[in-house]
Amino acid sequence: MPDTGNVMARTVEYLRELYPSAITEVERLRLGRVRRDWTISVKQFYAYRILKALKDYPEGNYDFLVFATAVDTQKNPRFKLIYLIRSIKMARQITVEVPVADDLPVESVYELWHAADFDEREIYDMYGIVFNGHPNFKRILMPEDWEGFPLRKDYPLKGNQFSNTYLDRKLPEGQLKQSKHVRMP
Amino acid sequence: MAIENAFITTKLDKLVSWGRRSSLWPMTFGLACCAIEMMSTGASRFDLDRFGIIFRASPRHSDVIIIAGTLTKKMAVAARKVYDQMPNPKWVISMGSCSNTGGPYDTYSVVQGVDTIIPVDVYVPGCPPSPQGLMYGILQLQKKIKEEGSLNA
Repeated sequence: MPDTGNVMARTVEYLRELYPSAITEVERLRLGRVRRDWTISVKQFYAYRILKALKDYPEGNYDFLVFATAVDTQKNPRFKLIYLIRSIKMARQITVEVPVADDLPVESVYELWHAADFDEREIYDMYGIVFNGHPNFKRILMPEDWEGFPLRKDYPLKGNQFSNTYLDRKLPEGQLKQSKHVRMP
Repeated sequence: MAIENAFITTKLDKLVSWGRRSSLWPMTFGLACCAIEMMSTGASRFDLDRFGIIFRASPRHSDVIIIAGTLTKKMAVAARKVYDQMPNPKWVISMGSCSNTGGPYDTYSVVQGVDTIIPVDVYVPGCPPSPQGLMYGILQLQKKIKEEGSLNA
């Protein structure tokens, strides 16, 4: 088994040769003795190509998407997509972070890893980030006609306590009552 | 040997409510961990069958619906639909804290108490309630049906 640092360094070097201006930041997280987990930040313009290059990386392709998720950073750009991808052959993994501006569609990685199917739908469901090229793009957890994206930081945690538009629309008129108890804010 | 006193006299209301409370068929409506306790109550150790309680998978066979677990707003629509499909007379048992008040889930997606969408007869507290607790709730419901005691209910 080759040394971890060298394998990861070679991977990042390979990406830098392909797309010189794509990677903005490289972070190495020390876990135990070895700097095992590397995180690279990638510009959104190059994100799909970098991920594809990692999947086709000749030394041992990163063929397993562990998960894709997002963060509402409340900065500019607003969101950050996170892909954790793993190479079974090399027993290594790399985190790819992609800062994404609000309301800007992202290229779907479904064609690279089919595991991205549900993850991208969940990212859309919770953050409202739109993915282009996804085969079945709709909400996954919330009802399809739900208003708003719950994990955005400006979404109220308890929803709107006094008007319940979703249930008002679905239930027969006059069926929805206020709860008998009052909860502390 | 012939049976002595082969007749009993009773009020029709009493007979009907005896029949109703002795064969409460619950609609299966397990939503979360409370459902595990509900299944346990129905299984051999606690054995709801001895109360004449047989779980049914169709609302059209059911007399009572046990809402067992966290009711989300997405599921609330289905719960209301199932309740509407049950024939009268019908009763509702709200099982567990989530179902009673929303419990720890004071969030955008959870119904804050089943009584906001359907009328509830018996609230069983607990997180989750033990099988004994649910059985006590069912016995309370039987008592309530006995005291209602009306053909028109």
